[in-house]
Amino acid sequence: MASDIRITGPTLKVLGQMLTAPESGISGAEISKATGVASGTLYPILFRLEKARWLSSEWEDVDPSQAGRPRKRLYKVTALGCVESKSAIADLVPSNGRLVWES
Amino acid sequence: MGVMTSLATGAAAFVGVFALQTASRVVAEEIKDWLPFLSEKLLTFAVNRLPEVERGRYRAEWIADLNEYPGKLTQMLRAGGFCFAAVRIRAASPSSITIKSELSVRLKYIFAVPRLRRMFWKGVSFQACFAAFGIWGLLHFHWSFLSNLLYCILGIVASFFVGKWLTRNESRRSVSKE
Repeated sequence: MASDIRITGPTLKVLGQMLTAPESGISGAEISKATGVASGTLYPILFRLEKARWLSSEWEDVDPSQAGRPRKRLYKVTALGCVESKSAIADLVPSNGRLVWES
Repeated sequence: MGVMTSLATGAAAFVGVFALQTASRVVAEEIKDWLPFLSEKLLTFAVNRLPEVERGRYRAEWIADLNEYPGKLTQMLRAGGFCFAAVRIRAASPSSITIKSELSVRLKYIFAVPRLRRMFWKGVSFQACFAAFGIWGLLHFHWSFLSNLLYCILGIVASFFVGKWLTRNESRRSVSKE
């Protein structure tokens, strides 16, 4: 399943953000704000990464009535995801100020 | 007269601008009030596009997501994005309905009902015979309308017999049941 992941530009951005995310996890909206990846692209990426077990997600541990807002779904990178995403990023080489895949 | 005309034009322009400004403000307020409703509708539309097992989770997650954005227009645009996300998630979901599975379900229903099954086979045979005789007619095209008409009639007659032959087991079964 892990090899099924298509590493696109937005996927790399999301993975890069996930690697620097706090231990408690990061919500989809926060990833979107940090990476600029739109909701229509972000959630399918998160879905695929979660299905491939590169990411895990859980509900935020707050009481919505006390917090005055709905609970967020927090995403965390798994050990497998950490290894795989680091290896995917390592395959990239800088070219003209951008990262491209080594040919 | 010239001064009066200028004054009247100026006053009309002032009134026009004021009216336009008021109208645009009213329209903007109206749209602003409608945006949360549209966001909700888009969110529901998106959630309904998801596989059934994922709907509850994504509904709650996306409501929380929209809540993190203060602007009503941003929320609506983000909810619009969820529609695209839902279609992609559905396509990537292992439990998603594929064209193949949809077709197999439809065919299963067709073949479950004898009358529909007979209609299906007669339709298939009709199409096949009509196409075959049509191609034959085109290959032996004599610039004669009558010859082509004859091929079409032959196609219809042949499809009748082929349809009968394809559904012959069906008739036998119904006779034996009686």
